[in-house]
Amino acid sequence: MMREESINGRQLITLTVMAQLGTEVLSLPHVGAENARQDTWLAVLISGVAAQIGILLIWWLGSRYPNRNFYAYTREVVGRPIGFVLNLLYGCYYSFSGLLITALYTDILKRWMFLLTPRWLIFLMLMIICGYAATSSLKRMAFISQSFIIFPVICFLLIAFSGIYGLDARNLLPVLSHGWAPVIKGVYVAYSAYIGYDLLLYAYPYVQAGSKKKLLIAMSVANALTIVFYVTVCLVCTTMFGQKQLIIVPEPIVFILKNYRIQVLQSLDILFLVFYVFVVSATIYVYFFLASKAFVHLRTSGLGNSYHWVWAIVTICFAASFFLTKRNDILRIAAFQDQLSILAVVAFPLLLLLISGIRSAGRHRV
Amino acid sequence: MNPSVAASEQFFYEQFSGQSDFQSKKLLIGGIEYRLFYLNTLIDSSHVQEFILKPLLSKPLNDVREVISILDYEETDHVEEAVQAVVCGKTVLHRDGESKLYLLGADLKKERTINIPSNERILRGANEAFIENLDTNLNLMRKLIPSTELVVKTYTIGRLSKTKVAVMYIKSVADPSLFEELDRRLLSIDSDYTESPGFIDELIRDKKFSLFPQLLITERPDRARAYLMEGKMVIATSGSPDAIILPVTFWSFFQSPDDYHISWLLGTFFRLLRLACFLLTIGLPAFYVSVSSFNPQLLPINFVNTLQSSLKYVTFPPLIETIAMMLLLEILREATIRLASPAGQTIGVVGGIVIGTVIVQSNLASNTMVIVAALTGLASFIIPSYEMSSAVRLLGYPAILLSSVFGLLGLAFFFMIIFIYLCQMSTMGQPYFSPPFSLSGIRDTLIRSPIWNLKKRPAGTSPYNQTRLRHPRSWKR
Repeated sequence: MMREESINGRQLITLTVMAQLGTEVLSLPHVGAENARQDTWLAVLISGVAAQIGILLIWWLGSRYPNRNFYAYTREVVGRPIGFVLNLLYGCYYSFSGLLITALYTDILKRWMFLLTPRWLIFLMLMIICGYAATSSLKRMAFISQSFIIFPVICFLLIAFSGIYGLDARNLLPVLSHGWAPVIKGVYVAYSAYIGYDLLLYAYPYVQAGSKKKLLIAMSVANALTIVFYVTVCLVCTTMFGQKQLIIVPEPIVFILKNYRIQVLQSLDILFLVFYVFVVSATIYVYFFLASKAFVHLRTSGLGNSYHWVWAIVTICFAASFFLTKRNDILRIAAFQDQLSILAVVAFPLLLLLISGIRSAGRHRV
Repeated sequence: MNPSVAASEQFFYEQFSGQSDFQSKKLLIGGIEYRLFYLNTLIDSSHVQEFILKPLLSKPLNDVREVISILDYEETDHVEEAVQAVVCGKTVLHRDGESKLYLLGADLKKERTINIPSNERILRGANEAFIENLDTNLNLMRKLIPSTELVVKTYTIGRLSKTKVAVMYIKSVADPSLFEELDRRLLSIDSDYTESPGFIDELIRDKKFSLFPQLLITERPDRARAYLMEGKMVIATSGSPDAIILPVTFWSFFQSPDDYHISWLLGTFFRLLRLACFLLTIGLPAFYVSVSSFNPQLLPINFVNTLQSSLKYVTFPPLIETIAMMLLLEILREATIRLASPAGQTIGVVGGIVIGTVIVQSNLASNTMVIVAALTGLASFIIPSYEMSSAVRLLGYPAILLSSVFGLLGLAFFFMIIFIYLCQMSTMGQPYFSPPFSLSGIRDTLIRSPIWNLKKRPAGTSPYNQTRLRHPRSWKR
C-alpha cells in the first residue's frame, strides 16, 4: 500500500522550491518591515541559512532510516502509542497549514481581484484543484510541480524587473540601526516562509539522487533558490518603499507591479496574482498530500487509502473556511501556525533524532 | 470423417442451406468422383480452372498434392474446418474414398491501389498510405524494415467478423513486458465484430473516460516505422487503413514526419508553434471572455476601448457570444467533412465570409469575437493529430465557463486542472505526460533536436537497447 515511485534529484528540487514559495512572497516585506525594518533582507537571508540547518537536521534523521518515510519510522523511534499521536498531530498540522494558506491566498484574491465574488467559491475551487493534485503519487506530484515551475520563474522576473525604476538604495541604510535584536525577531517571522522543505521528511526514501550527499545538495540548491527569490523580493520592496509605507501596505509587491505597464499589458499585478495561483497551490497540494499520508500511516498496515483521506481533508477544510473570513482572524491564526510549524518542522524532528541517537547508542553499548 | 463425397456434400448443404452463392460441383475424372465446394462470390474462377481443374484433368490418377500447383494448400480431416475455409474464400476439394479434404486458396483479391495519404498531409517525405488490406499493409511495413527483428503477430478478433489484427514491434528494441501487456489486452477482447481503430482503442486504452487520445492513429507507413524504431508497437487491422501506434506520450501528438526532413531549427520552431497553438486553442476564447467581461484592465486602454466599442451594440453577454461562435465553428468543420468535396469549398465561402461578415454587421457578435473564433479554429487545425485537435477544441468550452465565473483566474484554474490530469495519466504503465525537464527530456518533445543528437531512443519504451545512432558525423575527424 505504501508503494511510491521514486523521484530524481531534479524533481525533488522542484517539489521543494514550489512547496517553500507560498503567500509569503506577497506579505514577507510587510511583515519583515514591522520587525526588522530596513534589514528585512538580512533577516530573510539569515532565516534561509537557518532553514538550511533545518534541512540538515531532517536529512540526518532521514539518513538514519533510509528505507522508510517519516511516518513509518516514528512508531519505531518513540513507540507505538506516541508514534500514533505524532502521526495524528502531523496530519492535523498539515491539513491546518493547507487550510490556512488557502485562506490567506483567498483573502488576497478577494481584496485585489474579486470584490464581488463570494469568498467560499474561490476557496472551493482552490480546494478542489489542490485536492485533485494531492491524490496523485509523489512522482506524479513532482511532474505537476515541474509543469508549474515556469510560473515562479515568470513571477520572479516580473519582480526583479519591476525594480528597475524607482529604486533608492539609501532605503537600505543604515544597516543594523537598532542592533541585532529586531533582525533576530525578523528571522523568526521569516522562518515560516521557508517551511516546505519538511517535504523531505516523507520524501527521503523515495529520492534516487545517487547518494546521500547528492540528496543533501539537491535540497540545498532548492533552499538556495528560495533564498534568492525571497531576498530579491525583500530588496525590491525595501528599496522602493520607505519604512512607513511598508508597514501600512500589506502586499507591497502587488502595489509595485500595479505601477508598471508595458505596451501589451496594462496591469501586471493581475497577471502576477493569477500566475501566483500556480505557486500557492503547489504548496497547498503538497501539504494535503503530506497530511493524507500521515493519516494513512496511522496504522502500520495502512488506514484507508490516501485518496479518501485527501477528499475528507478537503471537505473538512472547506467547512472550516466559513469560520475564517475576517482578515484579522486569519492573521492571528497564521501567527499561531508559525509557532506550530517550528514545533513540527524543527522541534519534533530534533527530538526524534536525539531519541533515536540515544537508543542506538544504548543498543551499541549493550 | 466420412470418406464418401456424398456424405460431405450432405454436410455442406446443411451448413449452407439457403445460400445462393454456394456451389457444389460434381466432377468425374478418370473414373474417380470429385466434389468442389466454394462460394462463387469469393473465388477467382479463372484461378480455379487454371490451377485446380486443368492439372486434375491432365493427371487424374496422381496424388492431389503432386498435381495441384497452388501455394496456399492445406489438408484437413475436419469438415467443420473446411466449412470455415469456404467462408473465408477457399475452394474445398474432396476426392471420393479419401478421408481428408483439400483446402485450396484461389480467392478473388479485391483491393484498391496504394494512394497518397489524404488525412496526414506533409510536404517532404514518403507519400504512401496504408489501405484496407492487411496483407498489403504488412507488405509495406516489411519492405520498410527488411529484417527478422520486425515481429508480426496476428490475432483474430471478433466471433463473427474474424477480423485479422496484426501487432508489429521490433524484437531487439521494444520492451517485452509492454508487448505482453498488449497481448493480454488484445486477447481479452471478445466481441462479435471489431472495427479499427475505434473499437480497439476504446477496449484497450487505460483511462476509460479520458478526452485526450491515448493511441496515435496514422495512415503513414513511414510514421509507423519511426515509432517502431522507438520501441513502440503498431497495430494494423484488416479492413482499416489506419494503424494504431502505442504507447505514445502527449508529445507524440505534436510531432509530424515533416519535422525530420527540414532544418532542425525550423522543426523546433514548428513544434513550439504547435504547442503554443495547443494552449491557444484552449485558452483564447476563455481569455476573450475574461478580458471582455472580467479583467479589461489587463490590456492597454486603447485596445480595451476598441474592444468595448465593438461590444457596444452586441446584445448577448460575452459568454453566450463566445460559446455560440465556437459552436458555429464546429458546425462549419463538421459540414465541410460530411459534404461532397466539390461543395466543400462553397461551405468555406458561405460559412467563413458570409456568416462571419453578416454576424458582425447585424451585431450578433463583435468583430473581435469573429477574429478569436477564426484564430482558435486555425490554431486547433495546426495540431497534426485529428483526435488531439478535436479534443483540444472541446476543452475550450469548460475553459470558457470557468472564465466567465473567475475571469483570468478561472483560466488559470482550468490549465491547472488540465496539467494535473495530464500528469496523472498513464498509458500502458508509462507516464502519459512528463514535463520536459532534462536535456534528454526535451530532445524530441519540446524541440526537434538535430538528428546527430538523437543518439538514444526514449527510455520509457525501449529500456534495454537505447542506442539508435552510432558515431554521428564521424567523417569529420
